[in-house]
Amino acid sequence: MKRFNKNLLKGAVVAALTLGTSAAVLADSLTFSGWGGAQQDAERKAYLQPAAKALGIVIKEDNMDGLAAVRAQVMSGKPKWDVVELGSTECAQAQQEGLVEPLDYSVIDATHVDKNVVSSHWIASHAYATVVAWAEGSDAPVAKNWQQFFDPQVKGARALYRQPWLTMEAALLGDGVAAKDLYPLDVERAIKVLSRIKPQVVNWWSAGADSAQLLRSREVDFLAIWNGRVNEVKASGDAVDYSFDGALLSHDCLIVPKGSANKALAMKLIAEIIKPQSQATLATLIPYSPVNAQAYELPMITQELAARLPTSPQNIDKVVSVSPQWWVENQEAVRQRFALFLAN
Amino acid sequence: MSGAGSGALNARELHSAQQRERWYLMGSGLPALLLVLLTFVLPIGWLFWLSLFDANGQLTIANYTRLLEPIYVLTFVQTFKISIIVTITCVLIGYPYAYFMIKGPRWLANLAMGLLLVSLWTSLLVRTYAWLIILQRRGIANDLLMSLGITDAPLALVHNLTGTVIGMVHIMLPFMILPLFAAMKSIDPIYNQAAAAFGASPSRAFRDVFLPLSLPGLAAGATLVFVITLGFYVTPALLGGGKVQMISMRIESDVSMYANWGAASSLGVVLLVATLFMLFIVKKSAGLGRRGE
Repeated sequence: MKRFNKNLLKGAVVAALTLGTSAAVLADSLTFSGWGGAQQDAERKAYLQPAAKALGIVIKEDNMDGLAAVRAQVMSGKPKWDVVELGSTECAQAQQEGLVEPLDYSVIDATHVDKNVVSSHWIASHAYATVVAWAEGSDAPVAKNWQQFFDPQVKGARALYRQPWLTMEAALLGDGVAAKDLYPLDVERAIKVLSRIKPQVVNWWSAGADSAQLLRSREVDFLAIWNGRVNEVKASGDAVDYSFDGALLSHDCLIVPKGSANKALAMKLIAEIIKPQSQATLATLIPYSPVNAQAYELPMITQELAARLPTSPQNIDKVVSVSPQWWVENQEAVRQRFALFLAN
Repeated sequence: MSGAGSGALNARELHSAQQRERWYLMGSGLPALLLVLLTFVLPIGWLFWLSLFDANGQLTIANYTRLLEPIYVLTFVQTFKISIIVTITCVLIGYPYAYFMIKGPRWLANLAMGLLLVSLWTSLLVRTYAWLIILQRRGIANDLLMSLGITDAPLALVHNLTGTVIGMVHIMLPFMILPLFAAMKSIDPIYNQAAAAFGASPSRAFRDVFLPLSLPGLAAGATLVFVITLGFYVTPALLGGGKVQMISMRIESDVSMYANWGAASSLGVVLLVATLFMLFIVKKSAGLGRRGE
C-alpha cells in the first residue's frame, strides 16, 4: 500500500512536470528589446501587450542602447533578443554588417509603408522629425526655418544636434539646396555653412532631454530639436513654437538579430507592430508618428493630433526624408570630419 | 662546541620560522593579487590583443595608424591640456585649503573637512548638472555678476572649456586635498618651531621646512587628479556643450561606429601608455619617488 502510494506520487509528479513543460512549450515566447523608458512603456501598451494576446505568446522585454549591444549579442552566437528596435541609420548598418535576418514580407504587410524605409532586412517602426523650434516673446531675433537658422545675420543663441546626420542636412537646406538634391550630401559645403554660425552655437546637444532643457531654460533662443521633445515643452504651457517646414524625417526601425531562436514568431510580432491599429495607438500615447499611412484613417487620430505628427497627410509634404543608406556608406569619414569641425 | 652548534641550529630554525611567517603574511595578499590579475591585468592584456585585429579578425596595425589622423591628435592634445589645467588649478586651490584645514581654527577646519566630504559623497552627475544650472545664461552666477555691475551681458560660463574646467576642478578637488591633508597632518609642528628658534620667519619656515615635507602629498594628489581627469567622460560631455573633445568621448563614438572593438581598444592602449609615460617623466624630473619612500 505504502509502496503503491509512493509510486502513485512519483507518477503524479512526473505527469505534472511533463504537463508543466509542455504547457511552457505551448505558450511560445520571444524577447523584444527597445530603448526603455517612456518610449518602451508606450510601445508595451500600444502593441506589445495586444500582440502577445493576439498571437497567444509571452513577450519578454529587455533594454539596450543601440547597435553595439546587438553586435555583442550576435557575436556571442546565441542572441537572447528576437526583435530589436534601433535608431535612424543603425538598422541599415546592422544589415551591412550581416548582423540581421531577412524579414518575411509574406507575413509583414508593408503595402502602406513608405518604400524608403522598408528594406529586405529591416523596417521602420515609427517616425520623428527634427524641427526648428523657437522661444516666443524673446528680445533676441529668432529663426523660424533653416534659412534663417544658418544666416549669421540672425544674431541669437542657438543649439544643434551633436551628430553630423540631421545637422548637415539642415545646413544644406538652409543654404538653399533643394530637398530632392540633398543626397549625396556635399559635406564640405555643409561644413562651410556650419562654420558661418558656429560662434553663435551655444550648445551641440547629444541627448533629447538636454535639447528640451536648453529651450525651457532659455539657454538658447532657437534650436534644432525633435518634434516630440518640443511638443512636450509646448504642451507644458511654455511659450515656444515650432514648424514642420523642412523638418527632417528620421525613423526608428526593427530588426531580427542573426541567429534568433524564434524567427517565425519575430516576423509575426513585427507584422503586428506595423498594423495601422498599433501605429495609431502608439501616436496617441507618445508623439511618435505612424509609418503606416492607413493609421491616419483610424478615428483615434484626431485632426488635432494629426497636426502634431510629421507623417500626417497635412505635414508629410513639408518634411524631408533622411537617407539611412547614404549615412551607412559615408559615416566613417563624415563623422571624423564633423568631429574635427566641432573640436577646432 | 656543542653550544655553538646548537646556536647555529637555533639560528637556522629562527630563520626558517621567519621565512614561513613572511610567506604566510604575503599569502594573505594573494586573494587581492588574484583579483587584480583577473579584473585588471587580464582585461588590459585582452584590450591590447583586440587592438591588433580588424573587423574580420585579421592582424592589422590600422587601429594605430588611424590615430595619426588630425581628429585623434587634436583629441589627445586637448585631453592632456584639460587634464593639466585641471591639475594645476586643483593644486592652486587645494594646497591653501589643506593648509587651512591644518592650521586654521578647529571648528572652521572641521567645517572645511565636512564640506569637502559632502561634495565627495554627492553623485558626480548631480554635481555636474548643478554646475550647468549655476553657470547657464540665466543662472545664478550670471545674475550675480550682472547685479554687481561686473558685466552687462551674460558671460558664456558653460557649454565650453571654462564650464568644463570649473566642473572638473570641483569634482577632483577632494582627490587633491585629502592626500595633501594626510601628508601635512603627519608633519610634526616641532620642525616649524625649530626653524623659528633658529630665527626663520614664518614664510621662510614654510618655504624651507613645511613645503618640502608636504611635497609627497602634493605629488600623490596631483597624480590622482591628473590620471582620473584623463579618463573623464560625463562632465566634459555635459558641460562642454559639444565643443570639448576628450578621449573617452572618442572611444564611445568609435565603439558605436566601428564593427570591432579594436578601433576603440587602440585608443585605450595609447591613453594608458601615454599616461604611464607622463607619470614616469613626472617621477624622474621631480625626484619625488625617492622622497616618498
